[in-house]
Amino acid sequence: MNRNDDRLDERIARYWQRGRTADEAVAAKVLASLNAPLPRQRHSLFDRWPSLLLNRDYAPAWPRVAALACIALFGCVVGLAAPTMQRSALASVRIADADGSALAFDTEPLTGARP
Amino acid sequence: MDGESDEALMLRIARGDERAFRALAPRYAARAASLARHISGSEADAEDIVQEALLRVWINAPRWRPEAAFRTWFYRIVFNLALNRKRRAPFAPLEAAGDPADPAIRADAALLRAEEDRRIANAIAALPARQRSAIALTYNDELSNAEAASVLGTSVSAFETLLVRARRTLRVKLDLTDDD
Repeated sequence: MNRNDDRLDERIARYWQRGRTADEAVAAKVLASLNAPLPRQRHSLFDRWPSLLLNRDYAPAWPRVAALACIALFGCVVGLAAPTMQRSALASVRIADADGSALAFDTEPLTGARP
Repeated sequence: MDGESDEALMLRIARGDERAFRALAPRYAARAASLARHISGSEADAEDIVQEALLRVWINAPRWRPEAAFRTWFYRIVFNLALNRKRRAPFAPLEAAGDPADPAIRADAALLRAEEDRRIANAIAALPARQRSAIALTYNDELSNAEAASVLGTSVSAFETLLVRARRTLRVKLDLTDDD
């Protein structure tokens, strides 16, 4: 840092210091205005739900929650694998694969009306 | 309560403790006013900005995370509000009307002081917004470069570049170049 930088720092610092009185006056006004009742705080639901549950004496232990989640997952896997369905029943399940675009784009055969 | 850290007070404010808020606000109100005044260029705007920033601290305290230092978080709010305010309103040069004479010092000294203040104020006001903010953050609260960079939402090296450019411009405008 050269001599000019030092002088610049010194002048700006002095200038800043002289503005302190005005800033303190502004601060005093603002602080006085904050003596009025404060507005409601903004809580996100995510922050609050554990305490909401605790307020209702619902505080499941995390191992139990984990066990419940595992059972639910297992149920989904079993349900999707469908072990109780016959293979023939599975084969009869047909997913719509017909070309239905004619209904939308072709002209009406009797009247010739266009969609 | 006075000896508590900002972060400890913030944790209490997050739980709705108004007394903690009223203990924390005076610590930063004047410095925030200075920062807002220099960025927005208006004392009237500075008052609104500080008030709004402090109310935002209160309202959003439950969302504040202790990982962030309160000071940089708060200055970032002030900085953003001041920039928004400045974008909305045309800039009026700081202290364009001059200072009232201070009876405690001689008239010629007061005039010299007012003239010097006006020159510095105009030189700072003419800087681009981010350079002006860099100067304000550096001289206002002696923030470290890392803290100031965090307030501006930029990297330390980018902040240092802003500061170097701002200082270079100020040196020229205040006739502090090498041939001086």
